Amino acid sequence: MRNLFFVLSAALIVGLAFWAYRENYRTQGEVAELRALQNEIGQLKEGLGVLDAEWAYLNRPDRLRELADANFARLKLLPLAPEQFGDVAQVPYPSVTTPDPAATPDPATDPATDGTAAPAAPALTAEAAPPPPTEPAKKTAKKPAKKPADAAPVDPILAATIAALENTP
Amino acid sequence: MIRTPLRPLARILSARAKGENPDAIEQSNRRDRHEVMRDRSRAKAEGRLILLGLSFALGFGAIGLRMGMTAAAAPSEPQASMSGPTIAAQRADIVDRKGRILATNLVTHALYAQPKLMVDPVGAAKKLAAIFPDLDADQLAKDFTGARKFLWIKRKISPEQMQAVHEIGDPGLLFGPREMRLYPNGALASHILGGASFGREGVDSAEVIGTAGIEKSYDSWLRDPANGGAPLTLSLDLTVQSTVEEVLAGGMKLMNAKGAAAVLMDIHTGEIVSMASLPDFDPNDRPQPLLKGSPSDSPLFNRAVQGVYELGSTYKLFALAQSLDLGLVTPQTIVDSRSPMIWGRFKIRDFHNYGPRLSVTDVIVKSSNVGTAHIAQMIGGDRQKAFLGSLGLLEPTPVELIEAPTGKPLLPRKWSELSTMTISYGHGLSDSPLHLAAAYASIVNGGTKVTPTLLKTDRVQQGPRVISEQTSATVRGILRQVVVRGTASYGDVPGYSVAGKTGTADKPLPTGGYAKDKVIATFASFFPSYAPKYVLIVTLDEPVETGSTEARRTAGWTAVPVAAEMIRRIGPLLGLRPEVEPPADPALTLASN
Repeated sequence: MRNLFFVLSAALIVGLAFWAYRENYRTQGEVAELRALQNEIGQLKEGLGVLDAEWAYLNRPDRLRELADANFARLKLLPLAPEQFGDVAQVPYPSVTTPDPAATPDPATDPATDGTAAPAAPALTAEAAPPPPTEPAKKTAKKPAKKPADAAPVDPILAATIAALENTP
Repeated sequence: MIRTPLRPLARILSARAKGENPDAIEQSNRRDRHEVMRDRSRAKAEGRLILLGLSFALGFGAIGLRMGMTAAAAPSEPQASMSGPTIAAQRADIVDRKGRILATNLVTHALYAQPKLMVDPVGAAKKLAAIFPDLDADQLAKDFTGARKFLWIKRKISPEQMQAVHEIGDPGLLFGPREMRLYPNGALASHILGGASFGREGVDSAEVIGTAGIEKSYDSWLRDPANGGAPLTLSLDLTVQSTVEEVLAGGMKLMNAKGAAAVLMDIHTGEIVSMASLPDFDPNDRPQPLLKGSPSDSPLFNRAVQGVYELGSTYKLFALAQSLDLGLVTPQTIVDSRSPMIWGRFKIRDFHNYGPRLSVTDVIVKSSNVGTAHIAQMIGGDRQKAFLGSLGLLEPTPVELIEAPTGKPLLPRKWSELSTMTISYGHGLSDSPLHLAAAYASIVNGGTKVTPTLLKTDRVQQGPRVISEQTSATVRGILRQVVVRGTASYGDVPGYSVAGKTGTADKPLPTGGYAKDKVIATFASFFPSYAPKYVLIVTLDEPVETGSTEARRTAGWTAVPVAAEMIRRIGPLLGLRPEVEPPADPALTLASN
C-alpha cells in the first residue's frame, strides 16, 4: 500500500513536471508570437499612418481646386453656390399636371370615385398648391390666394434652382 | 525489529541461582535500550538540521543568484501580458471637426556619421554633397577627417535620399529612425497649428515638440500616452477654412491690402469654425522669426489673435446695445449729430455731414461718430468700461493658442470722458479681430457671453448675461438695416440675410497721431439676421480700392465685398440653406410698441 503510494506520487511528480515543462515552452512560444504580432500591428499602423497622411496630402483643398481648374473643360466644376443648395420641397414635381378645376370633377367631392384612389389625388394637388414648408409663415398665408395652382416659382432662389436643374443635361 | 526483553528468563534464573539481584539485569538492559534510542533520535535530529540548513542555503542562494542576475543583466522591456488598445504614436494627430487630418506623424530617418568607421571620408563627402545640394563638400570632408567621432548630417531625409545614401555604401554613414510631424494641407490653418520641431535627440529616437500655436499649448496633451492615440479634434472645418483663406487671399490682392484676417465663429457654442491670417506660412517648413523690425511684419504673426487694432465704427454696436439695454434710448430717439462736435481742443468729425439730427437707428446705419459720442456721454465712462469688460474686450482672449496672451488689448491710460467718446466709435481701444468676433457673438446670440474656443464641442455656452434678449433682437434688426440701406450695402447676400457693421479706422503712426491714407477696414457681420448662427469678422490691413478714379479705403468698399463673397461661398458649406427672410422686421415693430 505504502509502496503503491510512493510510486503513484513519483509518477504524479513526473507527470506534473512534464506538464509544467510543456506549459512553459508553450507560453514562451505564445509570447514570441504575441511579440511578432505586435510588431506586425505596429508596422501596419505605421503603414496606415503613411497612407492616411498620403490620402490627406492628395486630398488637400489646394490640390483639388487646382485639379478642378485644370480639368474645367471636361468636368465643369465650380464652387458650390447658394443657388445650387435647395430643398426637395422647393422643386415642383413636373408630373403633376393640374387640371382645370372647372372642367375636371374634384375627386375628393365626387362620390362616384373609387374609395382607394380618392385620398391620393387631393394630396398631390395639395402638394403643388402651397409653397414649400421652409418658407416663412406670412408668405404661406398670402400665396395661394394670388397664385394659380400649378405653382410657378416666385422667389428668385427657387427660380435659379429650377433654371439650374433645367440646364443640367 | 526484535525487542530485547528487559528480564530475559534464562539470565534471571541463572542470577537467582547465583543469589544475585535480578533487578540489576533489568537495569542494565534498560540502559542499553535507552542508549540505542538516544542514538537514533540524535541521528534523526541531525538529519533534520542538515535538511533545514540545506533548504536555507538553497533559498538564500536562489535569492542571491537572482539578485546577481538582475543586477548584471541588461534591462529589457517589460512584457505586457495583455496587448494594449493601440500602439500609440509618439504624438497624437490633430484633426478637424469632421475628422480630416490637419497634422499627423510620418516615419522617416535622420542621417548621421561616425567618421572613425568611414572608409573613404573625402569621397563620401563629395557624394553626399551631390545628394543634398545644401551641404558643402569641403566642410563635410573637413568634419569627416577631423577629430570628431560623431556628427549629425541631416535631421530628416526622404526614402529616395536614404536609398541614395545607402548606395554610397560607406559604413560610417548611419541612419536613425525619426518620427516627423507632417501638415498635409500645407499653409492651411498654419497660424492655428503652429508647428513642431525636435526636442532632445538621440540616435534611436527624438522628441517631437510643438513650437507654436495649438501644437505648443496642447503639447503635453498630444504627447500623453494615456490618451491611447486619440486625436485632438479642433472646431475648424477644413473646407470652410480653405474657402475662407482662398477668398481672403483674393480679396487682399484685389484691395491691395498688405495683410488680412478673418474669423468665423459659431455664436452659440463659441467654436471657431475658421480663422485665417494672411500672409501665412507653411508649418512643415516654419520660417525663422524676424530678428529686427516689427514682429507683425513676419508671416508668423497671427493677425486674428495677436494683432490688436483700433477697429473703428464696429464698436458703435457696443454703445448702441448698452444704451438700449439701460433704457437710455430707443431706436427712434433723436440725437444730436452736428459735425464737427467740439470737445475741449478736440474735434470729432463724421465721414460726411449727416445733418443736425439723426435717430439712433440712423446713427448706426449711417455710422455717425458724433451721434455715437453723444450716446456714449449718456452712458458714461464707468458703465462703458464695465460693459466692454463683461464682453471680454479688456483682456486677452482665452483661446487655446500659445500666442493668445500676447494679443493683449491696448487700453487708454486714463479712461477720461474723451476716451469714453472716442472708444464708443472704436478709437482709443485696440482689440484683435477674435475679440470682436466673441463680443459680437455675445451680443447677437440673445445676450449671453461667449468665450471663443478652438476645440470641438456640442455644448451651447451658458455664459453670464450681458444684455437682455429683447435688446439683442432690437440690435439685430438695426444691424440688418446697415446692410439693407446703410454703409454695408455690398454685404447683402441673397438668401443669407447678412447683418453687420462696418468699421474704417485710421492707423496710428508709431510717432503718434494717425496716418492719412492708411486704414484698417473691418466688417463685423453675422447671418442669418433673424436667427443668427455664425459671426464673421473680416479685417483688411491698409486696403485701397482702385477700381474707379478715386482711391477708396472705407470698409464698405473694401472689407464688405470680400465678406459678402465669403458668406456666399461658405454658406452652403456650413449647411445653411438660402432662405427668404421674414418680410417685416419684428425687432423694430416690437420696440415701437
